[in-house]
Amino acid sequence: MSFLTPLYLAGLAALTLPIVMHFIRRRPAEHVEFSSHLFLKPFPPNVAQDRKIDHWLLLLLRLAALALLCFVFARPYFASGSPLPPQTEARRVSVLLLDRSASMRREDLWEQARQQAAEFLEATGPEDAVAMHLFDTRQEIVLDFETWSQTPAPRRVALAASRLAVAETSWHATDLGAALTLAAETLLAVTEPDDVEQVQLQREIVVISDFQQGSDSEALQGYDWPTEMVVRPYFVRPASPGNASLQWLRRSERAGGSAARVRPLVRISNTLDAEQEDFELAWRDVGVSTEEDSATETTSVDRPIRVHVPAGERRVMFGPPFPEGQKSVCLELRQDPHGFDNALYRVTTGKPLSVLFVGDGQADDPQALPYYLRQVLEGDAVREVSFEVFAPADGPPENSTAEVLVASGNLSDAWRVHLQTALRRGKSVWFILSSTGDVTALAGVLDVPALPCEEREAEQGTLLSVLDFTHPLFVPFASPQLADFTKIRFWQYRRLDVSSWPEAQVLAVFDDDSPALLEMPAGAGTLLVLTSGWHPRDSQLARSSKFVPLVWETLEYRTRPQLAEGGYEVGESIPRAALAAALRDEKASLAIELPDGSRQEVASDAGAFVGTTLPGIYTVFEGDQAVTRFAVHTAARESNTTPMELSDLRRWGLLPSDADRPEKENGSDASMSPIQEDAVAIESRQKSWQWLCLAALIVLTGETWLAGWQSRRATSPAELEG
Amino acid sequence: MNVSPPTAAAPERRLDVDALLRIRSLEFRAKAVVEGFLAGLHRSPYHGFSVEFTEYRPYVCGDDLRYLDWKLLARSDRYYVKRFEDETNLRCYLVLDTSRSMQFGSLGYTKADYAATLAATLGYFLYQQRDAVGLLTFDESVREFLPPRYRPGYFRRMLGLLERPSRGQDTNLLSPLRTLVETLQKRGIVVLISDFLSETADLEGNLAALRGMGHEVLLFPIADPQELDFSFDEPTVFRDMESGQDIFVQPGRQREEYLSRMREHFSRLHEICTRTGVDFHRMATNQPLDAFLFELLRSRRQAGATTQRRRR
Repeated sequence: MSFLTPLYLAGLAALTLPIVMHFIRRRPAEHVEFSSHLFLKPFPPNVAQDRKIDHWLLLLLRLAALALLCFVFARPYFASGSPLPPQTEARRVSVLLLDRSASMRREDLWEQARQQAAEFLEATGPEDAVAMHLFDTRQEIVLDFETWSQTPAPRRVALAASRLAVAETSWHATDLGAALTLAAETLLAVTEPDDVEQVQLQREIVVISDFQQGSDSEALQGYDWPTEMVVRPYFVRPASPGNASLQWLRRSERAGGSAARVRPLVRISNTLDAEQEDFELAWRDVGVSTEEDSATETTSVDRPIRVHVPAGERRVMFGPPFPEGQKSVCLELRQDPHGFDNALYRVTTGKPLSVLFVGDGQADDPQALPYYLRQVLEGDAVREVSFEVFAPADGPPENSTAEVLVASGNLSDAWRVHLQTALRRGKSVWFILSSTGDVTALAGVLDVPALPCEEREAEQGTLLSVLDFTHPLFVPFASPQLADFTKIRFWQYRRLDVSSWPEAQVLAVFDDDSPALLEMPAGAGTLLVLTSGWHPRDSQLARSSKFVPLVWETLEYRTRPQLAEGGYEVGESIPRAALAAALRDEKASLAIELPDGSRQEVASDAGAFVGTTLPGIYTVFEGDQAVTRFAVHTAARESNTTPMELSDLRRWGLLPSDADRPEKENGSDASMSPIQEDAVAIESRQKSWQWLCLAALIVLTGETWLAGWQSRRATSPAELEG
Repeated sequence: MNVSPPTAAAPERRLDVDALLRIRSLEFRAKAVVEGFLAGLHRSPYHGFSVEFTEYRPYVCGDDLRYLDWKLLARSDRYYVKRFEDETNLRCYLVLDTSRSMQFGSLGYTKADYAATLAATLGYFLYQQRDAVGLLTFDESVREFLPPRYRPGYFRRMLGLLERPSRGQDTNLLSPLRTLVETLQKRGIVVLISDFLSETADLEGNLAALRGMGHEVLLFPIADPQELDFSFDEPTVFRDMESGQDIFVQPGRQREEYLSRMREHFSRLHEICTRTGVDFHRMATNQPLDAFLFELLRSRRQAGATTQRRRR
């Protein structure tokens, strides 16, 4: 029998302790008070005779338990027991996974990664097969097994190195899970060569990455990782740890009254391993030029805001006010050691939202519909809205830029055509039925025969009984404290028969099940029909607390995709419909200029634009004319650069449980001799220490029972006498 | 004179000592013993032990003619029995050991409890006979001294002193005896109650001096039954209650030596008493207290006889 850690056998010296303690126990600990020592002489204790051990079995059990524990720690094994299986010659089949995500742009990480990849390639033998994948959110196979095997063995490494030399980092986020699963599938597809049966195929994935916590590993969650697949992680680390990042939040605020400039709400996150905690927030002018990151053209346009974000925490705050007169802006976080994610781009439309009202009544008449609409639209502190009122008798304006059209009353044919055009162009139309006569105009807009409609009056007022809280219009009211619409009474409404209108979606109904609010698909736009008015003649709606939020939700509700003002993340696809909204002719050819100045055409039948590969401002061209812009920035999760723990990899089954240190994984543990390695392997297979541990537990249990039994036996006679 | 040592075995029970010592009030205890004892004395030949007690009563047939007062008969032609000539009352000095060693007890009460009850019993008995009783308590020196008096309330004061907890350490038998030798003027009885667990050297001289002054001296060595038979089993550390010293003792091996040394000590004490004419009554704390009164009266009767013989 041999021991893996024989030094622990020195613990056997502790066996003297119980022996000594059993002797010491002979000395009575208590004393008896006696009247006088006049007739007593001190009795010299006879050491040889008195120091005897009473409880031999107890002592033996204690010695056995101690000895067993010492043996457990010494990790015994039987060298002659079962020899290791003879090492077979293995042929390595490796996939080299190289992380090229945005976070690899930090310092010289990419150089480190390429260096490690080169070292790995140098170490490959002539029998080995290597494929090389680059990954971020996408996977690119730069060298496959077929090319490798077809290349003569002496030239393989040079080929791989040349592919490696042209590889570059991207601005995308990291999807480690997808990359690993693809690599695993690629490896599993490799079959053992039929001619050499003795050769064992050793499949391995070599991952060179910064292993940031922000990388996506969702693909690994449900993936049953093949047990024979070895993953060898190679970590690359920057010299200065930590990273801070910026993120837009939806809300902006005009701090300090309506005259002040609007300030964006941003979230600043700092990673757990950060050393830098003080930053500055400032605007950087990107201008209308599309040249990205051109230092000569960017100037600070406002005084920076100082901000302190402790490591591992987030801070939500208002940034500096938007720079005046600029539509494309870039908010920059300074003092961060790694700048790849420190710029946030934003394109503001610049023009106010235009709302057009056509119908009866004046905007200054409190009994009329437009009066209340104007109160809502012009009283808002944040949004800038232009509101125009037209009488049905007036003709529709030419070249109207109104995004939302509110119609009521008996409209002329010119207006009907105007509304139809607006709907086709993706605008939003609200049709308010203020009388049964209006339904003719509605039918005209929808280009259908007249709809059956009758006037209803309710003296006590009727209520909205069923509302579709899943519809985007009512989602903000879905929480129980906001869902109470029972205080809004309707005195007059029109019962519209929608049975012949199957595509109409009823969003709210009155008590008598007649529809109150309907949504109709009409062209590319949105048509909402309200069968009652909000003015006092018809209802209490305008005076209820729901009116203002409901109007704003309706203004923002567009079925047609819009370009997101807050921008997109790198790699995100943008629906062509959103891009085409700004075009005069939707079918016109469309080109997008990237921040680096290159142009990409988007075909008229393409579903989406997928070329968001760089952060910055993208310009949409219709022919040669720039029609709109949108912003793209690095993905928020890519900013979480805190390195993963090896335990995470173990959790997914990628690493064996005894791989403790990254150094060991990197193959730098050269301190162990081959004999020791054999001993470790034999011991880990035999696992004698587990049996010894069990034996020690049994002995200790026996000792506890015996000691308890003896002490009970010793005390019970005295208790009986007492 | 009782010379035989008491044994640890339970003696004939006349009054349950254990039950008696459970009574909290010392006065009650004393009364219980004395009244039980007097009830037992009904029609007994003893008339008390007071040497100087005087009694006249008409002669009845059967009386000893020795006690007939011939002078009175000559004067008045009437037969009266005159027991004693001396009319002065008896003075009794109760000398009680309150040292730490008296706090030992294996029966649920200590030697000190027993000794205090003994003293109280004797005091009550004498107080009933209108004799003057005094008290002296001692340990390494004299602690309290109450001169013998007969006056109302004096007995209760004595009981108060007896019930006072002892604070002493060591036992020094010589200091009370010297005090008595130096202070006692009138003849009386000196009753010394102690465990006598101290050296006996120089004791003889003081006892002899007391006897020489005409005092009756009675020694009552008190011992716990466990002290008498040393009934310990386990090897244990014994702590001396007086000195606090610890010694390791193996009772099984040392019992014989202990008993022989104890016998030697008390026989030496007994020899001293014999030489000096002192009464010596060893008492174990499980012995009935009225046996003590009985012993006392018996010894007094003998003493009285000796006195009368001396008078004649």
